[in-house]
Amino acid sequence: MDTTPSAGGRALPSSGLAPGRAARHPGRLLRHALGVGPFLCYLTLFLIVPSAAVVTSAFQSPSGGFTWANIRASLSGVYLQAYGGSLELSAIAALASAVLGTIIAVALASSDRPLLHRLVTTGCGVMANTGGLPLAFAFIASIGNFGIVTEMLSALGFNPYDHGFSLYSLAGLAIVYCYFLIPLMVLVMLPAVQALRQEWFEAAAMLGARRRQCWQLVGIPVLAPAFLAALMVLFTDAFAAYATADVLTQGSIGLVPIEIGSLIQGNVLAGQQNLGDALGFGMILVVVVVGVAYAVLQRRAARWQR
Amino acid sequence: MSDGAAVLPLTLGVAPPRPLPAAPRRGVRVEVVGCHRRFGRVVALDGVSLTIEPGELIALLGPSGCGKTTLLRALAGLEELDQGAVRIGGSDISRQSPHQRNLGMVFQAYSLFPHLTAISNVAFGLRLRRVERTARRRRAAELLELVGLAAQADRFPHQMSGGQQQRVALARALAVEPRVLLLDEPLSALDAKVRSQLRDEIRRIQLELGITTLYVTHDQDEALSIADRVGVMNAGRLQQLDVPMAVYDHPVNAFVAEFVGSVSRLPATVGPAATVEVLGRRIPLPASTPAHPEGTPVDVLVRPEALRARPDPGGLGMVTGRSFRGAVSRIDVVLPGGVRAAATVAGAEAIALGPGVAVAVEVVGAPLFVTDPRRDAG
Repeated sequence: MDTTPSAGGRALPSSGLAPGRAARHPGRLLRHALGVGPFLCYLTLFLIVPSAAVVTSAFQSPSGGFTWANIRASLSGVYLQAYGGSLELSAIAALASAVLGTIIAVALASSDRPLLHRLVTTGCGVMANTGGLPLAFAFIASIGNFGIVTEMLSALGFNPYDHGFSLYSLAGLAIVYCYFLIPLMVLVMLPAVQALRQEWFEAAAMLGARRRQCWQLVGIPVLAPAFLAALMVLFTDAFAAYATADVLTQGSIGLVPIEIGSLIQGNVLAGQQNLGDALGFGMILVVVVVGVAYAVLQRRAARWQR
Repeated sequence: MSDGAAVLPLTLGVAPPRPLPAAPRRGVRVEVVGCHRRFGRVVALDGVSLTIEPGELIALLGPSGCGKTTLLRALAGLEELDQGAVRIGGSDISRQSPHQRNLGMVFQAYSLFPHLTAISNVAFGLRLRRVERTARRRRAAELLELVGLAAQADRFPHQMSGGQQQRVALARALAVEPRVLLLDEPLSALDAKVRSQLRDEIRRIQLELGITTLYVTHDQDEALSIADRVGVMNAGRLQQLDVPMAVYDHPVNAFVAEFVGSVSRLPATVGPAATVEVLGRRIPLPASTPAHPEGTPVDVLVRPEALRARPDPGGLGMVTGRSFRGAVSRIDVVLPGGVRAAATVAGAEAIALGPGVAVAVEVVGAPLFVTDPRRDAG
């Protein structure tokens, strides 16, 4: 089989096609298109069409005419604060989870105990998909005002709520988000960490690098592309999270998804769907901006992979 | 620079390779004394001692798991010793970390930092030593030229072939002016032609720099062709350490005889007056043979060039295979009792020795070694 050299020296199976050959061959092109067809349909129906509808609606008045009013409203007052809250919460939760998740992935990758490996990855798979009411309840029962952990700490003379902590604050929400973001980071980073070769660290040490320098000059730069990609996934995951925050804060903290939920459900004022779509449009823009920033950083960090 | 470190001839050009200068022997002496290392119940090193003279290249040869890589890694500081000492230039470095030892190491494969270009890989060690950027890039460029890769300086590892990557790894190891160069099967992942070219290149550079070198390999051709002395290891012990010719012609035991080069193990009987009877012919016993009573069954180990095979319809042997090797051919023969033997014959003679031909086989050279019969040899 033909092979193509790749990073780390492993060989990837090549397609056996000369570059551009598939594109020039109509039959082959059709087969390739059929292969990705179902995914493209899915993408169109459940991402492109809804997104286009949201963007269109964001610039429409309830009567259907063009207006900037929704956009202006979405960037003022409580909605602007909601953007600030969502960005702050997502950035803090994503960054903290990314760092902690990477450390756990490194620790796990360096362990030679397969049972521990399986247990942790299985646990992470479960935790990364836990959210909404069950997660909120679990945290209320443990570190809520009268949660078990809170009571235990109180019995020891330290009630965190007497020292400024609240589960129902931005910091409390960030902790709850970390519950599913850290395991997600572990799962996403583990393959990248496992691909780090011992020889790189040993070669660096032989050239005079201390352990810290091995990581600083080799481990971290090699992991950077995967870390940035995972960080973006975590950020967007946290930015779009709705159910857990809604259940936990009951709207007491301004977050964009909660504001959109309120507007679409008509809990406060009827006929505000266009404003909700304007907020949704703003969320799309935030994700696009983050995506562009990621692409720029990734282009620099992953220069050696091209 | 450390005392005794090899000084890089930074003005060297490499293409085409120049005649080898006399080895300047600027390297340091390396002493490994009584090294022991166990991994659980496995004994990787069992009291290994050896001395590498300044500027000398020693190749450690042995089967997988014999402890040769463990010894090299212990020298590098990548493996801790249970017991024993490593001295370089007279100083005990057993307690030093790898980054403190100033040794250069080339790994088996894929050890280049994937996120750095060839020139940045080579400059890595100089960067750690805080050499000014312009100076380190100039030095790295000169080293890339030394290994014939000046044109590939800005390529990333994945854009280079395996042979090119190993050349860069060699340049990177040399860039820090190491006291000793350690090579851990550096050619094992390369194809035969590149392996042969790079082997010569490594030897040329090693001689030019006069750097003390330990070269680990499981390839006997590589070891015999590149080394000043060859150390053969088995089961954590250094079996023999000598110049290549001595290891080949005068192995100290049956393991070395069978591991280095090709041998046939032929059943024989000890005869009178220090002789042994093998294939119906009485020949002198090797001088190293321990005394055996007359009539004792033994095995003699014989090199292919010490056996002659000729077509003979009444011969007891039958040719089972013939492989062309340039000026000579190797003829594989099966003898009565299922004993297998290999003989070397000149090219023209091999034409008549195809598979299935009955042959007479006789010992025409001195046997290498006489040993107790192997149980499965009958």
